[in-house]
Amino acid sequence: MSAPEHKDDRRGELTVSRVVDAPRELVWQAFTEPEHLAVFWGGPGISVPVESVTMDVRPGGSFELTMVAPDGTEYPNRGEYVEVDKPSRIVFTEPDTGITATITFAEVGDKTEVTIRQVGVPERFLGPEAEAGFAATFDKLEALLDRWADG
Amino acid sequence: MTLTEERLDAAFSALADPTRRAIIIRLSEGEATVKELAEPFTISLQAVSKHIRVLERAGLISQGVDAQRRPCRLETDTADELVNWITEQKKRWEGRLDALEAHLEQVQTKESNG
Repeated sequence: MSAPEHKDDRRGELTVSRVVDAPRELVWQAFTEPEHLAVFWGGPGISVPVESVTMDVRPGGSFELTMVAPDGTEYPNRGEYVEVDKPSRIVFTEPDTGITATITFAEVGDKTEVTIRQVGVPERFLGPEAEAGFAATFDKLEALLDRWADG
Repeated sequence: MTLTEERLDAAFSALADPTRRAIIIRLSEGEATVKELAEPFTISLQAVSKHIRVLERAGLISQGVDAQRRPCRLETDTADELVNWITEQKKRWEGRLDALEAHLEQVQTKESNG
């Protein structure tokens, strides 16, 4: 891992990208319609009951859904759309997790590249203890590592 | 800030050595045993152990108590926790995309058959 990547980690930044074998219109639908979203949003092992999903896909609109773990534990998920630019871009924030995610859809031939860029970290990483741990030691350590990496 | 500055001084001098910086960078990816840390270097295991002791004294890393492996890890708890959280988040999105791909395939198969 290079030093700059580590610096991104500190802001809680991450990028995940995948070319999926489907036209962009369909991928957009998958992310914006409850009956599609419910199928994949939980990922493997976690289900999302379609009746728990409400989405108002427009800037300022909100979404809510419940993720159900294999042991039955329910994890409510809610957020707000910041940008909705059909069919290429969705930006949403989640107040509970402190994240903002930008999802972009790009046509690659007849396939679609989905890129998720997520920024932000939960509250607990921003407390006084975290400040002491990071801001002091890590910042300077990192600056140091960066300088050496560049030199 | 004095204590922190003291720690920083220790950290800075510990990091004045390229091998020790390489060890820190390696540990930023996750914990590793002394043997694993020594692998990329041409120096002896003993020499690496010495570097590890310097980093440990500077409070930059710690060594686990597991008698067998005694893995080294970065001593930045919050940073560790944050990196773990990010790894989880990344996994979550990867999992979502896996499920999305499977779903899109199913939807399109249905469409072409119906």
